[in-house]
Amino acid sequence: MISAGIYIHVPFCKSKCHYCNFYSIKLSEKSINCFVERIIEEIKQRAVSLPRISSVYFGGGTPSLLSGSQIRKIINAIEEVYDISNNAEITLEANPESVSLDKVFEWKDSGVNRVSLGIQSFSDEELKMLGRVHTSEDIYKAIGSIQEAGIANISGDLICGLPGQSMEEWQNNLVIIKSLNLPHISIYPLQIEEGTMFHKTLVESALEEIEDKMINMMQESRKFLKENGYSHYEIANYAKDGYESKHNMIYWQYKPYIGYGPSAASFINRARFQNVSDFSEWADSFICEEDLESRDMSVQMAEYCFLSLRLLEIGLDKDKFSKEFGVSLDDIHGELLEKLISYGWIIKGKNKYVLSEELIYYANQVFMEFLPS
Amino acid sequence: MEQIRNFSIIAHIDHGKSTLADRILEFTGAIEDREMQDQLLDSMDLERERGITIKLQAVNMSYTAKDGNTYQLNLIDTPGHVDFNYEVSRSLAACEGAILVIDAAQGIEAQTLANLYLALEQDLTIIPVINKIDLPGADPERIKEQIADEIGLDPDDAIEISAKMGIGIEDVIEAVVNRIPEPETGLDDKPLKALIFDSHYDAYRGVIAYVRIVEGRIEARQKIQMMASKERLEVDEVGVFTPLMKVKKSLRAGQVGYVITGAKDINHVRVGDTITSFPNGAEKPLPGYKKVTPMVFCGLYPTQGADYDYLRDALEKLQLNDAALTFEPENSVALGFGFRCGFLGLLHMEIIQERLEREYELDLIATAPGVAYRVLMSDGSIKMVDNPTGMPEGKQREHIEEPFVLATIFTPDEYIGNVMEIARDKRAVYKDMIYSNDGRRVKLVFEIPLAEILYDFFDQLKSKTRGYATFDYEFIGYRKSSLVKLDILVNGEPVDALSTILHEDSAYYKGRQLAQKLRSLLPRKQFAIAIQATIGNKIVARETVAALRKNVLSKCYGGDISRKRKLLEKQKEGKKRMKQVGNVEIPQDAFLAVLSLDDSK
Repeated sequence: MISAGIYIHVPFCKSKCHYCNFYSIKLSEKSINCFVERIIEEIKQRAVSLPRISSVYFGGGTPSLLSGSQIRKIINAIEEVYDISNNAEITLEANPESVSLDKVFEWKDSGVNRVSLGIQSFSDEELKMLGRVHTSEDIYKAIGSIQEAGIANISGDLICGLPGQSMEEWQNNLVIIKSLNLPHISIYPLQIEEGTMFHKTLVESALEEIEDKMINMMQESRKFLKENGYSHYEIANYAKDGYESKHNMIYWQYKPYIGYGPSAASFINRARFQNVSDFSEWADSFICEEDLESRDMSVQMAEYCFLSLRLLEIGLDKDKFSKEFGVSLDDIHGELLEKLISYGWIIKGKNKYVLSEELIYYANQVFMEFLPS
Repeated sequence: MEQIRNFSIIAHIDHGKSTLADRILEFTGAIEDREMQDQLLDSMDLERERGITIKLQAVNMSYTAKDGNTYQLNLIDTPGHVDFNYEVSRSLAACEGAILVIDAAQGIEAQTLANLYLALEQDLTIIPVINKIDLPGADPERIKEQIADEIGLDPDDAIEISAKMGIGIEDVIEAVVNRIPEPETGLDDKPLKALIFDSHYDAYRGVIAYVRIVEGRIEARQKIQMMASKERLEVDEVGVFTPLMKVKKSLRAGQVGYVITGAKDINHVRVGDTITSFPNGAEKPLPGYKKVTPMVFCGLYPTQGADYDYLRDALEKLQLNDAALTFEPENSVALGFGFRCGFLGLLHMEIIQERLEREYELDLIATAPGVAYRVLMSDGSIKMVDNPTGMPEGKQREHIEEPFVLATIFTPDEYIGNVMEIARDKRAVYKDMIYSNDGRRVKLVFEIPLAEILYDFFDQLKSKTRGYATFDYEFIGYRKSSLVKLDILVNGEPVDALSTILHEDSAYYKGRQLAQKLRSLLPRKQFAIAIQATIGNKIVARETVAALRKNVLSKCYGGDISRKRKLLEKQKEGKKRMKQVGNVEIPQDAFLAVLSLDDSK
């Protein structure tokens, strides 16, 4: 049963990847110790009332830079404040180069039971282009270590649609990840975010060149992974039966979560908050700002709708919606839903709506329709 | 006084009519050798490019025959294409005889016959001429058999020539002088009756009417009246085309020439009207031309809305000597203000469009051509619908009738199977099949809905008979059909100009195809575009034009939903802005997409 989640943002990286615009700072021993100390303090100070916690997620940055004991301290702090479910999912994001067998044993002892590995590509050339500091060799070693240490629940991230990437090269990535038999796979199309190296160096034409190819790659991924026993349960996520990420499900299913660490986002009592994206300011006073728009009921209902639709099979459920908001979905969005059905963009199921196959990769076109004008 | 001979040349396209006309003009000295361009009578650029004659012209020549007498010859040109039967009959009405040109290799074709019948209707004397005898494939003897068998003329009367090489030209002119009767004489003193068989508009001189004087005479300063429009005018100038305009003191009965009145309003001098004198005019006008009914319709819209009045002006000017062109204002949600135009056929439509674009420099959007439907309404009344948008709702109507034509196709016998196949796809009803005497050519007769011909019929016929088949059709009436209206919606909004009337059996299939086709034709935007094909309230097909990459997907990570929502808000704002600037612009190709749908199921 999914109820509530905790997100810990670990903002350190050895170097910045060319596509990444998440908040991160250069690694130093001193600041890591300071971070652990301050986040424990934040957990105590910003304790909120939440149902039983079904997921804790260490994201980043590079959480795998933390040692087992550092993780243990943070989890202990959480346990002091919150009621954590016995079978809670505790995920640590890891970069392949920072994984070793000893470290994984430590993590596991600290309670980590799931590792989300930032693979991104199995081609050394592509990894270099992305600005990753690991090689394909590091990936195989890392997976070996994680499995040897006894963590079976591994997720692998891949990025498709790199400039110059051919369909064959992408398919090669798919074949390899399939052969590794990971129970969970996330596939993201490359996006050029402001403030990234790619944004500065890539010309528009290089992106247009692979525009359609990128969609084809995602379609190909869907086909290939489904054929190989994965369910495409969320736009960017594939899982073997029972290995759907609980943490992500909290986001899509409109469940509350609190985020600790600089830039972390929280969702409490249907309001959205975000911590300041600056290490010192955060460490100083845990500044957390509320997104005032998120108090608006129509905004909340829109979020509910588009988050639900990200779940390709579960979809947007009428009963759940009316239970959440006390009004019927059809009363609020009946006309829009009819329109989207008539376009063939969503499909009406038994008491629910799901994205049509064709629109999966253009889902924003459906999502934005729910927002208040 | 010089005797007069008024004659036309009729032929199938490419059989050498214009070349023969040039040679006759050269031979009689009307034009000095090569100083004028080849094929002088085809003076419009468009005609020259397409190798077909569209507008008729009349040239006056003086010729001293072998009998020692000097004759005044008037060669009145006719268009060759089936679409222009109407104009052919107009020019033939001004003649006493016609030269029938037949290609020595190709033999008699559908249009040869169609034009011949028009000439026979007017009781004209026919001079059969076998052209291109210099070509390797020429077989004059076989053609002579055809002349006897298929036309019923005396093959010994046929003259063998090569217009290109200048062989036999004198024989043709002598035949014109000797075989074609002179116009009825002794009518000069009767009240004036002049038939306007063509006209054109000159920016400086106003309307220039091409006339055949049937009775009486006409001269400058004379007061005249148009018998149909009742308009009274004074003659400024009369003359003949030599082929340049040459002023004459007067034109007398039997002569062909021009009349200028200074009239600027094209409605005052209508083709088909009879000019008489005023006062003391004739009592009865000459039999006018029967009003032709346009068979093919399409919407013409200026791409620049400001050109609307200019387009109307241009259409009016074209209509002056093309009574078959009709137009009325129409208003489309998708295209703005334009005109619903009626044409004799597809070629006529293309030519008008090209003339508007070339001569009037208009930038146009043309909608897919359609036919006029006869709708029996529930209340028993009849409504003619020439625009799919105007089709009454299903429950308001009893049934729909569509125009059918009798189609005659000549083809080498090895393509019979292919032609039959096309016919089946086009809902044709087989009527007859006649082999030529030599057994190599076949005449196939079908009844086909006109609307089916508008789609890719010609193209298919040409490609499946390697270009050998020829085709002609005539309207035979309206028949009840199971028809439905297919609408296209783009992002939920109906695009009226994309609506079509289709046969029920193919509507679903074509709806799907059309939606797919549009998907490839519509430009990609920052937002996705939904295309739907509907029949009644039922959606039969839908397609999506994908959005551009920039806005396709954004990952959702670390639970930062606010950021995600803000991106969506920005996207939505962008879409709204695009909508204000005209939503989705639909390219011209899209309006014609319905024409090139594949029929094979």
